[in-house]
Amino acid sequence: MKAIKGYLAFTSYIYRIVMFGVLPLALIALYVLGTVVMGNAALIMIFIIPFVAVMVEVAADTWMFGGIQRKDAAKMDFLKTSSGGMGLLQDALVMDLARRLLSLSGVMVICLLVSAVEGVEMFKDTAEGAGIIVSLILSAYAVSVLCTLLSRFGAMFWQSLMAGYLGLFIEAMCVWLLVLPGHPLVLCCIYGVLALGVSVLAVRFAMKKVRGGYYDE
Amino acid sequence: MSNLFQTGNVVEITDLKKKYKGFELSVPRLQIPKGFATALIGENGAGKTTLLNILAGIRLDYKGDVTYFDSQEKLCPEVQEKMGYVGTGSYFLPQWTARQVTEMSKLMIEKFHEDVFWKLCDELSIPVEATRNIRKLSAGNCMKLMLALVLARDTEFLVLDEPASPLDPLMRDKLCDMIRGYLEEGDGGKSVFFSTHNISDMENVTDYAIIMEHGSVVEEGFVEELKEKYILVKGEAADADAAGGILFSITKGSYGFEGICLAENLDKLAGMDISKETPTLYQISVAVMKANTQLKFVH
Repeated sequence: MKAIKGYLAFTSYIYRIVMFGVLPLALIALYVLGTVVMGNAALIMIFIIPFVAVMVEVAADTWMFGGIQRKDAAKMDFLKTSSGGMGLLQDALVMDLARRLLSLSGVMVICLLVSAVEGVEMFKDTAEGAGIIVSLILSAYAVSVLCTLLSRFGAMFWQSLMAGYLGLFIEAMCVWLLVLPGHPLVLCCIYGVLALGVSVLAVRFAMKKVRGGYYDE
Repeated sequence: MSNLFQTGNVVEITDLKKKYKGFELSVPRLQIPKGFATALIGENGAGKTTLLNILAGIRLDYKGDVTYFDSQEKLCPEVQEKMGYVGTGSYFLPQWTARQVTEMSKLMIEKFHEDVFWKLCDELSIPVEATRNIRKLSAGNCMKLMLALVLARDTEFLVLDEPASPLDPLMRDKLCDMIRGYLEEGDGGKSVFFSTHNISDMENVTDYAIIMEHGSVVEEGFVEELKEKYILVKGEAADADAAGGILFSITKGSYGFEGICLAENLDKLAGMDISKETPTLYQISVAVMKANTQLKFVH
């Protein structure tokens, strides 16, 4: 509970509105628009959602932890001189990752429910379909975390945007691998391992950089 | 260090050394008395901020020994809980708001009183609207916000880096009141250690002074003792050259000279037409700094 409170303390009102409300709703609306209003575009839309999520997640991070890995980063003496400051920051970094995964998973599940209600059949093989959906979630999550890790070396919004564009390219590669004939379940496992790996790396690297401020080198 | 009222030391430093890009901080021994306001004085680059950062736990790459609260504890979470720090550098992330730092304080610090914080914000007229980024606050308001945050905590020791510099004269006066109030509230158990260039403004709240030059402590003592150790001497222009070799520092003019003399050297001025006064802390500090500086003065 304290970790969630700590995470919320790091979020501004605007960030909360955009990331907790506007982004998930917009993604669902996009899917509904493609599936219900525009006709049978469910399969296209389910592949577009991860791209939008990657771009927005990476760009919006500039309002949360933008620039914390810069060499001349703001040193956050407020946190460093408090006994619980570093713990609070680490909790916030971890909770941010958890929120990303939950948010994207939630959006995808709601989209699938919308498809079920509308009677849209996206995949002939249920197991294969589940593998593709989970792979999409994990790849988008892993790519957004990886590009966020890169974007935190800069504090400017345009730097986050550039990292976001890089994320779109990497996500395109991931999706391309997914649509190739093969075994989506294997890819699902690979993306899972990657997601776990970049999550650990992102938190550890950010903390290492911030703690590095205690030392000259 | 000797004082009848002294009951211990809030900080004790032994053999402290810190090297950084051609600068060396070297403090063989330093004790900051408990229950008093101690001023750290020195010119730019003397090592004041480095010393304060080491005490506050922001710099960990140093050699030597630093203990807190009568040598009972080294830097640890319990010490950090009892110590409040206010700094000039990057204290907050610029995108944070006052609401956010309040929420963080409540989570990070066991004894943070939110009601006291908002009361202080109101009292100090800090514009802390919920959505206003800290980057939009002026340097003075940012300093006031930092002070409100540390004063809303239950602490025993405040470390303040240049708290007076960004403040207007009225607020500096208020700062002195706040420091004095903090010390009185502690009844001998609370201490304040602050660096300052605004010696005159902060003199009425300074009990103990430490003067640093080139990374070393060149003078320290209770202000009253320093005012007995140094004497302000004024004399005729004709005696200026003779007095120059005796005085600790001297300023000459067409009207005469004025300088600080060590009380023990006062006898050497015998025969000169001089007047003696008690110097201010500002005058003592400038004299000590002049005697130790690498700056070139044209007389």
